[in-house]
Amino acid sequence: MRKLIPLIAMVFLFSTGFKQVEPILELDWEDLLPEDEQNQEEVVVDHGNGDNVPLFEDPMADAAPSGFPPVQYGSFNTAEGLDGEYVKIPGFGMALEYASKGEVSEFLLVPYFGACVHVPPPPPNQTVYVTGDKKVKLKGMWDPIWVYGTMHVKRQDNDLASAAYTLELDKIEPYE
Amino acid sequence: MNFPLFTLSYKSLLNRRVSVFLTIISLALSVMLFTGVEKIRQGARQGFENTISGTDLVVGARTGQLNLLLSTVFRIGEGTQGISWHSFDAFAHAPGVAWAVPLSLGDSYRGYRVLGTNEDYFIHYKYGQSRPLEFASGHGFRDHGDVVIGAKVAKELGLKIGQAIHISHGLVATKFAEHKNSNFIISGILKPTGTPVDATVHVTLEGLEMVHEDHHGEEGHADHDHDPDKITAFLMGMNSPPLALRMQYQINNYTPEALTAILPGVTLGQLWSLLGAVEKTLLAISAFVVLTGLLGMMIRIVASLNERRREMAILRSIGARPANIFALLICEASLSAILGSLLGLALLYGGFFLADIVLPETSRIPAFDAIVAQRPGLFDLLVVLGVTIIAAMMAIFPALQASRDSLSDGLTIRV
Repeated sequence: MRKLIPLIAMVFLFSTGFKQVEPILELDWEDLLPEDEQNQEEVVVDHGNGDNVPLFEDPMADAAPSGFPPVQYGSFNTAEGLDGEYVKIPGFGMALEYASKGEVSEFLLVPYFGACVHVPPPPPNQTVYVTGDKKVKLKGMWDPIWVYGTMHVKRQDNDLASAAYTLELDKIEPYE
Repeated sequence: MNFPLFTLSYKSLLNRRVSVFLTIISLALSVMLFTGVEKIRQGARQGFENTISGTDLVVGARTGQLNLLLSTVFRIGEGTQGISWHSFDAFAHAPGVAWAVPLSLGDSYRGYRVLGTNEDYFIHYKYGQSRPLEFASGHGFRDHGDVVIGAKVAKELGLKIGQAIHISHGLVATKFAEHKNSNFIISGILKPTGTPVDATVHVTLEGLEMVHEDHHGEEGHADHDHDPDKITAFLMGMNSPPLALRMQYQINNYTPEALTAILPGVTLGQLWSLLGAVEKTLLAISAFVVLTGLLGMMIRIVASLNERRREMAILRSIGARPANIFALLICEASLSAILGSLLGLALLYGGFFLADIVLPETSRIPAFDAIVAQRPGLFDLLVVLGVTIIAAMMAIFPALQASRDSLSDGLTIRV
């Protein structure tokens, strides 16, 4: 009888283990672009229809004909069918708000690091605002991470009030 | 035989109290150092992380990101130069900006930093996890000459609502640099926050202009409704945090004036990664100090083995097994390790407590309060356990030696 217990336990473990195997939707940053914007990194995108507008006009912009804002790909447009999905997506975390003990409660996930000085920041549909009740430790800013969570998509053009993509954080893992 | 292990090891330690006491002291000091390094690290992080919350961007003149954060938010060091009011105005009214608060630093009142700002500061500046500033008594700015002081300023200097103070130009605590004519009246006292706000004297930008005009010997208390020409920095909140990235880029590329904008969270992360190596080095060094302390204890045990051969022989003759001898030595080592590490922790927290009482407010580092507020936790328990286990393991060698000796030695020891 005693020998049966581990057997039963194993069967139990296996059965619950199988139940947990749900396919997690793994996203690429390109998946966040609407279809007509995908595969366009090479192309200079300047629709002139409100995409990529700076937040306001630089009064001295005329003096700098090299162009302000710099040309970038992507826009405010979001991809179809991601709202409410549980996804995993790789990227670099930029801490916004610290909770306690070095844990971060809000951060921005961006596709490349160095959204800092020398390159333009990623466009709205290439930036994920990660928030929620869970708190995580972001190790180094140069270490890419996998972020798991539920995606919320706001379908508004030229939106200054909220993020195009908000991810309700579940967990993070180092990206390898 | 019923071997009284604990009583015997306790009495044995007591019998050699001088050398045991010294061993325990050296262990205690090393544990104090090790735990202290870790606690200071944790406290400093907590103190810094609690100081700013809900601010999306900090903007100042072109400088290093760290310098901007340290000088404006933590009041460490000085800003490089001012930025024009025009730039502040342009960004404060830009689309997507929820709020912007100007900051003007560089003056002092009896050793405390003076911050020139406006009423918005008390609404939008947040600390901890989005906690707003609260008034213990009084109110914010209603007049150009109003002053709001932090909790520590009020306590240390014994200032009360309605009291008049003089504010000086530059960081001088002595009397002669004070401006006799600049008359400010305390209108509000803030509740303690555990951040540099507690040690800050808040005045209006207009009031600060008066101080500076007095300094240049110009007109006294005329009407000062005009905006200041220059401020040191400003804090910004966006309608949505992701906008901060784009605004940062625009500010950094703003052509009329060379500005630096930082996301405070990201810059704090940079500070930690910068300090991370130093912290690890300190922790490693102090770990080796603990190891040295433990080695010292092992040396003491080994050295005492010879003189204790007779004692062991007597124990054997009254029925102790070699295993009992072995256990006795391990137990003695563990006991001194426990006592040593507990004493070390007591010294550490006692030291924090004393430092909190003794050190004057103005000579404290920004995260000081968070450091001395550190309490024993899981880490301390692990340290005690770890030190004890290592001590027990280190005692295995001399204990084996002793139990082996006790087999061969008779009651008459031939040394």
